[in-house]
Amino acid sequence: MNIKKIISTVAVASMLVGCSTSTDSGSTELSEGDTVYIGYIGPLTGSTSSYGIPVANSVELAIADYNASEDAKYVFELIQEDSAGDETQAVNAYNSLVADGVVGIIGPVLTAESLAVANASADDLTPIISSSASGDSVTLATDGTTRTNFFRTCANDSQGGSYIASKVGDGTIEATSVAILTNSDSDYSIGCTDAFVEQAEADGVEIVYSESYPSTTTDFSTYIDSILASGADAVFIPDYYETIALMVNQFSNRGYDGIFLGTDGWDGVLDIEGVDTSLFNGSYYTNTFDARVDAIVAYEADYLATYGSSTNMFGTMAYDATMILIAAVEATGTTDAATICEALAATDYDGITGNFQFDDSHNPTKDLVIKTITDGAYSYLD
Amino acid sequence: MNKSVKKQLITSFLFSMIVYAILYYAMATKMINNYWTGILITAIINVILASSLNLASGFLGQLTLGHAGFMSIGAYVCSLCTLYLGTPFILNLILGSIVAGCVGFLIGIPTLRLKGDYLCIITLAFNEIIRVVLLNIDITNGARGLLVPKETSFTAVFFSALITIYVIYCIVKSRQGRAIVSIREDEIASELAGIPVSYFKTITFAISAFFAGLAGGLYAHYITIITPSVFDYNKSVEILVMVVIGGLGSIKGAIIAAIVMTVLPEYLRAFSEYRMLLYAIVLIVAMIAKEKNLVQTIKIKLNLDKYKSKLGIFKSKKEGVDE
Amino acid sequence: MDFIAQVINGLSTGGMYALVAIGYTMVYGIAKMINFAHGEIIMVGAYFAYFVSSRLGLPAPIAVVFSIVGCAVLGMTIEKVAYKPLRNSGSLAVLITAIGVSYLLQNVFLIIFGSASISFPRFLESGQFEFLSLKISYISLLSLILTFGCTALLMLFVNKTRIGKAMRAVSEDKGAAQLMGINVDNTISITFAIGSGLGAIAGIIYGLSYSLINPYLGTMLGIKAFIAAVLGGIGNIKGAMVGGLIIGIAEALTIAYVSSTFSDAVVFGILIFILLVKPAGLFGKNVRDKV
Repeated sequence: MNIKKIISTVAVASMLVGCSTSTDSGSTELSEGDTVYIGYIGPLTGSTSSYGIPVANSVELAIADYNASEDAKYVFELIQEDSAGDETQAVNAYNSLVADGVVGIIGPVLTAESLAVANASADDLTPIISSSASGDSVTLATDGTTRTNFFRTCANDSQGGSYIASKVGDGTIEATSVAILTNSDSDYSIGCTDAFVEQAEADGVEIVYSESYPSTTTDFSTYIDSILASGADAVFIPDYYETIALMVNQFSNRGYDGIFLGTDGWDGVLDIEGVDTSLFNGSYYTNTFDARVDAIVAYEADYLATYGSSTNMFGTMAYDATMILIAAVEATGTTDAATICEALAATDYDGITGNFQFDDSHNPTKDLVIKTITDGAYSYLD
Repeated sequence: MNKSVKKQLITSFLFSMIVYAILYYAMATKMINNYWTGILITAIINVILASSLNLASGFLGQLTLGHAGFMSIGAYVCSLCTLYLGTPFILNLILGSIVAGCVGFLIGIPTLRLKGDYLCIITLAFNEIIRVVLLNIDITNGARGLLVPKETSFTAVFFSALITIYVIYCIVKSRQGRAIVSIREDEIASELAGIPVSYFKTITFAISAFFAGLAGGLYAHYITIITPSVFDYNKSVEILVMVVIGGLGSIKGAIIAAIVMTVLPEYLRAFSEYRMLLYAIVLIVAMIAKEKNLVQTIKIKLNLDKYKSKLGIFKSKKEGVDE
Repeated sequence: MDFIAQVINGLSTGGMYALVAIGYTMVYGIAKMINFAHGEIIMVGAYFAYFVSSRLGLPAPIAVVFSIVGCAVLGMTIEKVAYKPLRNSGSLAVLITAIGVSYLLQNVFLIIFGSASISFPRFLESGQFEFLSLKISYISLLSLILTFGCTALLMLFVNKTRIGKAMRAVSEDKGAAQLMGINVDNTISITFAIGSGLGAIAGIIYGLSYSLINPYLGTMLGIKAFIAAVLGGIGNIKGAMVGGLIIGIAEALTIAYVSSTFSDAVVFGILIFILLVKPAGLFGKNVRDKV
């Protein structure tokens, strides 16, 4: 507490003042050939980066595709901000993107960071489309009303959980007694399980075992032994594919021969480097789109050629999310947030993953599909 | 408290008011945009965290790795009060801090008998247990977290930090503060000199936890969503690193380190995946570099020699050496 | 029967904890520091074996040997570069450095291999045999045999060989050992090499048991193994082994009969209990503070 401290404080303060780039938002009207910025927020580093990187790349790919197209009206440019999956950094990233004058943002990738960013965006209402934040509450404000500026292109947790349960209930998936394993550290997993249980009870599906595991768990033998003892002929595991792969392998080691049920977090399970794909035979999980269309096949090939790795479901939907945002900007010809949000709410866009329209809660109105794994490859339940 | 200390306090206070006025003006006129305002708020919350941990680790000499646990208690209690009691924000902040302080006190009683590495590990264990409990009780909404309204403003964090630093400064400069420092220097000798060691350890630890709770409450109402996973072992390490980089037992060191270590990563964004790598290397190099000229840096800048002679301890010991 | 099955589950994870705990215990016993980076050594061991086997396509034994030797060398290097300069400084500096090393290793592997999980090569036929209606997988059995084998070999080494004797001397009193003509630096290096080599074995067992590896696998494993080492009495090899098995069993039984979500809390609770009631651990000896 002396002069030195004060000097340093002042120095930091002046540094901050010096760094601030005040962007004057004068005219919001765009004229042809203008450069328009689109932001990305999501984990590019850290333990969740394997989900964020395909999203970031797909946004980049979508923008490149648009810019290369002949009837491109504007030039879009991407600004990527890493959140490392951390809420504070995500909010910083959001503020930074706003200062950079982005017209809209694709992301954030995870539900918690999306909630933080959504709250932070309450003042300036920058349009945000997430392709992966599936928590039910993300598009809703705390008072239950829909956030005007937040949209998503993925299914929400309760949609996925209840859809797979209903397929068991109506006999499409043959299972009579179900065991459930939930990740107690994951809002996603809990949300899916709640919806599954609700639907299963309504449909009279018997749940014989339900247990939660902390996300640090690597050894599931104790759970598996109990499930084997319970006599369940299906196991519902709503989690992301890495944990799924870890678990399914142990199920097979212990001689489990029933089926697996899951939600969209499963997608990508066969793409894990060197994984034994036959282990997953007899798995059913929800997905937001059927990837057997040419447009997606072309996108996937393009992605592989550009980035040398395969994309995932979030990436595919981020491609559409970007195109939806671009279409809204193109249609309105402005950078004004409120106008773009209105255009987004009225979206009717045919993307590579199907037709997009948003309902009152800004969720896509698309139907889900059930993806299955047979003979070590993805297929669909028609 | 002697005259020079008082004088210093007054000038420091005046200067911080000027700093506040400048920053406030800059924010109001948008000279500082939202981005830098956000970082500034985060930085000041980190200042509170680092300063409070500095009291326990720097001045009392107890190495703890559980500070994020106290922060989480403050954050959750404060948020729950906002959501269920509807009491004013400032009262919720105080309530959160008091509960965090009480938990710190309760945890402090048994754990502070341990030393060095063992204390580190046991506080880490408490941190993890708090996290697991928050994850599995109903009122905290588990992994889905709590959504709270945004209440934390620049003014709130600035004055919270000012109060934190002021209180810690007063404690350290007081008679009790000298006792605290003597415990760090030599526990057994302090005991022999008639200082109630356990009492001072527990109280200091509780005060440190109190301010961690304050930071937690401010954090919760800034970021508007809290989940237990934020307050894990890595967060505790992050706070400890700020204190250590700033110099254990240096109030201004902790402040500067907290600010620098919040602002610096923003500049390193461009390095993306190499950022954490760089952070790791900085940690290792800083520790080794510090060791090379250790006497000035680990020796704390208080007038130790005076107290030492009073206590009759002439043997100078480095901090934290195990016997 | 179910109870016994759960105990067996616990023993197989416990075996892995034990192997890691021995590494912690040896380093703590001799260098008097918590090697926080030890968990990351396990991860590195798993990745080394993966790299040699899957990427280079070399046979399993070469991968295993490379992994063990690689980790031993890495352990010694870390000690020389990062810890040795701090040998005479406070525990905090060493602790922070160790945390730094752990972040460093994690991030290097994150950058090289990415954060996504990858499949570990199958060195061993996965399967199980049945014994009195109890199912025991080959990998669990291997992990237990390795744990007991390594502990026995290590105890023989420490008690019967010259280097072992030197290690015990250094752990007892570094200064006096030096005066007796023991090369303290070399002894500490050897300790790090052995501890890290065991870590590599644990990493390989991890890969075989769970078949997926990622750069974060060592963190929690490391912390739990450390708890096992404290439980057994840090510095004591036999204690580390027993501690590891106890933690493994306690965890499995908590999941099966108490509450799965609180299993981590129970493990940390054991640590707190031990530290408060018997800080020296089950097999450790009490050392009084010297004035």
